[in-house]
Amino acid sequence: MQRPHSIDPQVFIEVMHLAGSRVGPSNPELVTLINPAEPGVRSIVRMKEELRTRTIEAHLRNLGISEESFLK
Amino acid sequence: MVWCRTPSPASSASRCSPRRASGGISGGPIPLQRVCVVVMSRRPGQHRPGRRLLSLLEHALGVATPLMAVRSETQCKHPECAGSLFLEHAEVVSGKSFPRQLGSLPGSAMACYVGSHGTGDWTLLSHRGEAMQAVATVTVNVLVAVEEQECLFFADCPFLNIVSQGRTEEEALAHFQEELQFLLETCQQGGELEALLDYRTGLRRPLQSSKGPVRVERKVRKVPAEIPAGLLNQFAHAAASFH
Repeated sequence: MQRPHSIDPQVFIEVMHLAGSRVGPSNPELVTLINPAEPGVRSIVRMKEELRTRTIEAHLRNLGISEESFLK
Repeated sequence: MVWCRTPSPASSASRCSPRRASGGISGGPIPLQRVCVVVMSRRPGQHRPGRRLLSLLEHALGVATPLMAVRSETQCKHPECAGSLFLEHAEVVSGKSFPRQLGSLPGSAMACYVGSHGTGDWTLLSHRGEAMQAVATVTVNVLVAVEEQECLFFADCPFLNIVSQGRTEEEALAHFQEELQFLLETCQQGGELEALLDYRTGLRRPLQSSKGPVRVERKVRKVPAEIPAGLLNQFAHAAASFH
């Protein structure tokens, strides 16, 4: 499976098709992604940086989403 | 010297009298889950604010480290005190019974008081009639795994679902701290803060995930998170489950 080396956070969020996301009140760079199936499960994405493979994997893990479903 | 608690809906009638540590406070053990300790001394802590106080609490609770402690050190600003009176505060959440009398502190301590605590906000009225507000904060040390990959540093805490990156380790940790603060704010707004601290920070619990114990092979750093104690009113109930 080909993993993306890096990805724009905005693209990442759009691909995730998440029901909820919230912008940080004190820092608009930060966005909380919320797993719609389990609202208590979330991951925080910083918008102004390229997400690397390591970070993407962590976000997927945090949200309980399999890597296969994201990359295919 | 008079201490009084900032009025709160839950406990508006509370008012505490001064006590000397040597004389102690009468009464037997009380089944408190949340207590506040105030220690006055003529000089600041030798090592760091609240260090002596933490030692006292550890001795009183009979555990190596209290579950959670609020530490601050305030200097009396009255001219006649000439900055020589220091006050240390600590708040401890514990499922154990807590003795009313902690005894005197070695060295410079003048007085010691333990009382039930509601909001974390205390007002101290000095003998000069000056009011000093002490807003306590909780410091939680979060374990963070730091790893270098692809010429970047990553700071990862799977228990809090936070991962950050940076060009240097310091930058990754600074970003982590920012994201952690954001997470705490978000959870506080959603009323989830205490549940988060209860089961995710690993405060007195072994590092483990839903898939079993976690083997941390990467470099682990501690990142402190400051939380206003007033946000943790319900935490005492969660704390009881730790013991």
